[in-house]
Amino acid sequence: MRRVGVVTSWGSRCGIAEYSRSLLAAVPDGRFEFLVLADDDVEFADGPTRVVRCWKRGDSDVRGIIEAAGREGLEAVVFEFNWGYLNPGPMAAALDALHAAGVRTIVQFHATAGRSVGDRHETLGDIARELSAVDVLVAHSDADEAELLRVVPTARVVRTVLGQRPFPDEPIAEVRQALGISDRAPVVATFGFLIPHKGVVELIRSVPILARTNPGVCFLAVCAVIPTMRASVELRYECAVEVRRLGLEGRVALVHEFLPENVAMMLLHAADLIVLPYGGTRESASAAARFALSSSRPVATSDAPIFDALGDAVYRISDITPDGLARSIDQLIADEEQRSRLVAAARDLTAMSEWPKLGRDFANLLDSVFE
Amino acid sequence: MSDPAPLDAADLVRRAKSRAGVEPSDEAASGAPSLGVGAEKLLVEAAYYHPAWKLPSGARLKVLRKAAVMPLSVYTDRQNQLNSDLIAAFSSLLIDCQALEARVARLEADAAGRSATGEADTDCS
Repeated sequence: MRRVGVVTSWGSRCGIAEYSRSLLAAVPDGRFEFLVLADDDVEFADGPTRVVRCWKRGDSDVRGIIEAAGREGLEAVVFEFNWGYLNPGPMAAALDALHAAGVRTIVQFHATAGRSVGDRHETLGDIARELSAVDVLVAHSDADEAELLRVVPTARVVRTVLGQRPFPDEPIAEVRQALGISDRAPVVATFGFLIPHKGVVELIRSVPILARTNPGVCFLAVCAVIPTMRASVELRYECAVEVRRLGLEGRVALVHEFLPENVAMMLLHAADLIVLPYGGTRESASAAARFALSSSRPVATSDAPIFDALGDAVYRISDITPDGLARSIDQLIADEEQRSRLVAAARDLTAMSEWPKLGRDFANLLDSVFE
Repeated sequence: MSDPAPLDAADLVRRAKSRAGVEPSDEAASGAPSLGVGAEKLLVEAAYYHPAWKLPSGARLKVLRKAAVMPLSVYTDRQNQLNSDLIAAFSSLLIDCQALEARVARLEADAAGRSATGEADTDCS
């Protein structure tokens, strides 16, 4: 078996950690032996995959990664890139060292747009030379694919999607009964880590407007707080204060616990509609949207580019002010045919992006770098 | 129409876990100290804002941040060496609970005040 390292977050409250865990679990047994080269942020048990914790998020010291690759005899190393994790400079240093040692490399991009830090603007173009030596660059959206080819025209760029796990549907009335909310309708939900750009406060503010035409409306925010992210913790309070200020204690439930997937899915199964009104984000694809699409409930999103890959499986809302959200939600709640169309399109999309298929694709991709 | 009865997020989660067959991993099951929602809020508030804490560094702050939204048993099971730090952190925090509660109340009162004086977002008026 070939020995492959994966530089990623792992066992923490983080979308990339969840992605990596699902992806490695989906790779067929017997072809690769994975070693996770993780940062030091750990909350949950490592699981069956071997893990070495050898770097820190946002830090420039990559010696731990290089040493682990040599010590463990890794033949290939996969990097999961996003800003704030292993930033371009340190990643380039690690890539250089690995290439010099004859190690194959793959970089999966969870963001490609540049960022500004103070008066300095950083882009992937800063490390074009190092990226040009990478065997495969993996993009999660058309925009990312185009950007990577612009930065490194000679690169081998492969387009893939975030995976989805199928969940059996449950009758909405039965779920609401079990949750003790059978007297509430319509139920609107949102899902994902609690981060300011996700529009949770705007959704809370849309509830009183919705209640004018939907007296029984309630809103479930299934949004795990990230305790190591100050903005997330602050937003938790902002949401709670907003609910109190608007007198919505009877209409809004703020669920901030990090829940097992099947429990989170059960809460989404109580919903008539799931809304993800994200504002601007540098991220390329939304794992939260993929999860919501697996719920057999209609999903509405903003028109942020992060949702572009979802096509007609989601309803796009361009006006994500509280008034605009209320208008669109109201319209969708009243349009059962439209909601059915969305659910059917989401099922088709889910079928094309189930983890077992992505696991096989990833294994084939790894094989290809040794050919 | 009269205001609906309050929605209890904790009850929703408890019911969802029960229906999903997820065993409650709360502290009572392991015999470890219980971390209620109120204490949890105060703990996060303290870890980030309370001047007496001055952002304690290293493992202590990390434990605090994580303990704030996770069952304590997860830590005591996996990282026994950190348990005594956590208990110590709780002990010192409890001294300041009243001050923290007052701070939370002030924040809420400030928000209510903004609303009453018309400073609130008019989208939801």
